[in-house]
Amino acid sequence: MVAPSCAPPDRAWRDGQCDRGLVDRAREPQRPAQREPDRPNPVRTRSGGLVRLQRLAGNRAVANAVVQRLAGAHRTLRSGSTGTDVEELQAKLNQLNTTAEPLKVDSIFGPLTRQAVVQFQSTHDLDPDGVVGKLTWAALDAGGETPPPPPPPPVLQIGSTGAAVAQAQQKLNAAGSGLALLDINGVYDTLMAGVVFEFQLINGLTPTGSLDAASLAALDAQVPGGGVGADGIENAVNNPNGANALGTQDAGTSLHPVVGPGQVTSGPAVLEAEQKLNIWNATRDTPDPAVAEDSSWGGADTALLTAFQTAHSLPTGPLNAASWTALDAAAPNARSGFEARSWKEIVGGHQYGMTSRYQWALASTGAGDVMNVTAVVNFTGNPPSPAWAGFVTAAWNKFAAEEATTKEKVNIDFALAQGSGGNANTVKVSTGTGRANGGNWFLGDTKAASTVPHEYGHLLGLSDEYQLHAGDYRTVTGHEPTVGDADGPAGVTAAQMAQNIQTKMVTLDPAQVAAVSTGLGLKSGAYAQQVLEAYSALPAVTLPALPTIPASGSTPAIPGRPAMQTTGRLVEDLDVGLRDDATGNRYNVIQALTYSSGSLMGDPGRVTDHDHGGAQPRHVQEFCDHIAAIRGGSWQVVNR
Amino acid sequence: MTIPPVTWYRTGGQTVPPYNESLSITDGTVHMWRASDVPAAGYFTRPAPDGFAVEEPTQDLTVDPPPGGETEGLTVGERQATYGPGAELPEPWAGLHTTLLDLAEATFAFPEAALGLEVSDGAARLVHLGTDPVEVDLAASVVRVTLWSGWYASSERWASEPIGGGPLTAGTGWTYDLPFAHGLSVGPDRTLHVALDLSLKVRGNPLAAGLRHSPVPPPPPE
Repeated sequence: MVAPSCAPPDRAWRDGQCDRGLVDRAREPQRPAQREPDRPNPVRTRSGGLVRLQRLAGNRAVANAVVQRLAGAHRTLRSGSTGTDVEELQAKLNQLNTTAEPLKVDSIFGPLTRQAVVQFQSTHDLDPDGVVGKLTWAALDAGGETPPPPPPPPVLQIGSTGAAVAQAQQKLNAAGSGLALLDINGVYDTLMAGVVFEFQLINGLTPTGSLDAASLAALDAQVPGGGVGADGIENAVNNPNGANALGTQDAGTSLHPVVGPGQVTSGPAVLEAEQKLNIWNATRDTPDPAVAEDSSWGGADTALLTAFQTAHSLPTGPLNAASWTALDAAAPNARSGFEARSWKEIVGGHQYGMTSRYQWALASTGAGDVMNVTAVVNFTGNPPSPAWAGFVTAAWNKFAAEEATTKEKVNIDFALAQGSGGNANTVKVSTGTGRANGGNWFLGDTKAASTVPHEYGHLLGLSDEYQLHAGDYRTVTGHEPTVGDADGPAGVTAAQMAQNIQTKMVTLDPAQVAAVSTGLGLKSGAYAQQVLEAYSALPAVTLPALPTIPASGSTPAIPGRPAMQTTGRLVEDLDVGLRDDATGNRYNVIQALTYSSGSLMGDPGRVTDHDHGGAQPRHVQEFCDHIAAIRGGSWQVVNR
Repeated sequence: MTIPPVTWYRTGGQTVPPYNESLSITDGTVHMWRASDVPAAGYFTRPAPDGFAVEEPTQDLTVDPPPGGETEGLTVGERQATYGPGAELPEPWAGLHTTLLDLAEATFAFPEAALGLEVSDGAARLVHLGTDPVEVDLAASVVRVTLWSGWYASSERWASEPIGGGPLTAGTGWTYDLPFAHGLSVGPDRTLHVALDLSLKVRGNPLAAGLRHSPVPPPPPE
């Protein structure tokens, strides 16, 4: 029998008075004064409490845990108690107090019974208070043996706050048991306790919902990373779901253009179709002659496509999205492909979108295979800089795919090519000195060695890695959101800051919003997440209309917006509700309330992390996956 | 022919300082505010060109800007479009966009309260443009020089120390010589760019301005 484990280290272990559980005390209704000390206190989670845990951890584990938590499910007995359990108590005392006069087993807890209880407690290192609580019952049930000591006191528990909690939240998420995904906010609440409880169940630890030294050690062993390295930079915690650095594809869109007569009839999409039709054809009992893989659609291609569509009960005609889906499934191992990925992203609360067109091919050379990835760009307005293509290769051509067993390496080479037509992306070339973006590159951009490779990444469908919400950051980078600043400015609670920000937003002045946030030291991290959560709980307020101001001799023309209710989503409210000012106050507040990586797709100028600056393996994972599909085996991205 | 009220604006984006500028036509007068990536920043005004006309669209338009891109907006009468750089706009929005940007370029010749960046051999200076005063703060400003070879093929760079000093008021005839001892070897097949970010106050409006001297090199051979 395991004793309860909730006693804080500085508190006497007093039988019958250990009242704990996984329910946040601050939110729990007032309890009755004579609450049974050992009443089971089921875990409350978003997902259905113990039922959910039973599904996850199995009935036996949960049953063991509940038994441990109930400590035998005995009532607490004291003077005046009556009933069969008093009979049980008296019988056990008679059996174990061999030096005392036997009690009459009459089911009445009288003075003699109390005296016998005190004697038993005194000889078994228990508080001799005459009350039979769970520890005394445990000792009686154990045949007089002193029960094992309680587990080590918790290091972190409900009510704990700070960076250590946030680091634990990262690792609990990364452990990935699935009960709930925690915000990395540095606040140990009921939900976190439920996730801890589940982690402990699954890992054979005493389930308490609090993190003691053993649980923390198990968490560290299971999830490496986290904390701050010797270089002072926060170590990433990888999420088991890995990274998906590609932008979210628009619903209802296909990665493939429609191929066939009257549609796309030449180019890399046609070559991909021809290869896949041949692969499928070769699996048939009676194959037709293979079509030429010449990137040009002809009658033989149409005939083989018709056969494929007929065999798969698809309407005959051009190779449309439905037929492509069937063809991709039938022949996932074509050696080349073309993708036209329409996608969107939310950065700084603002939605952006584009269609990225790129092609890839696994080519055989005398020195082995190489994966060639090319984005063709139709530059408009001005000729491109001759340096741009070199910037791309310098930043991107650093990875290979390596097979786990043979250690064979296949280089993944990237190229920026100039061209036109349906396979090409359109980029406007301006002669100014602006900073490149997804649609406009600047010849006079003195940071083009960084910006052009970043924009090239967008041409491959990769999304930005700056000013992201926590979920997007987790998905895109494959890392848990960073702990960052867990404490916030001294003397300002997150709730106060959220309220102050909302109040100042009504003034529509970004400088006033900055004064009560970044001006006080608000930085990205756990505290900022608390601010977001506190803001979401505030009653909505009306932000006054921003009038459309026509240009005149006194003011620039400024677009307006009608009065709006705040949404509870602070970053979006800042984006829509306020205007930029000359000093970038709005941008800086949004930066502090969101997450950015320091990678090439992130914000390397403002974020220092171990991804600092460059392309990362996650950015080229898609092409490693293609190699694996073609070649078979287990491949991973490595540095060359 | 009466010109309907027309407004074009550009805001946000990754360019430093971010775009915050506009052009509008009301009652036959063109008003323009420009501040980012321009040879002159401030307020410009002129009569609408003779014969200037725009076609009124019949539908609104919204296109997400590309990643990192600024937001542009066009309003003609009751219709409006928002989009980003490089967007492939349908007509008549595409034509309107081109027409207004061309007009914006031409309107630089009509300053009313602006500062310009002038660069000549061995010197760079700020000059006041127009008739109305402009307040300028150069305390944190740095002159950045880039020398390109060929068609933006490679570059050498130089930057000054922060200029320092307090706020100044620029009026008619005002000039200010900028630090320019870059020591770079200009010559054939070289093109010099100069950049200066500074804070302005024009007619009471604070503007974060990015002045640029960025002549286009001779185009590369076909």
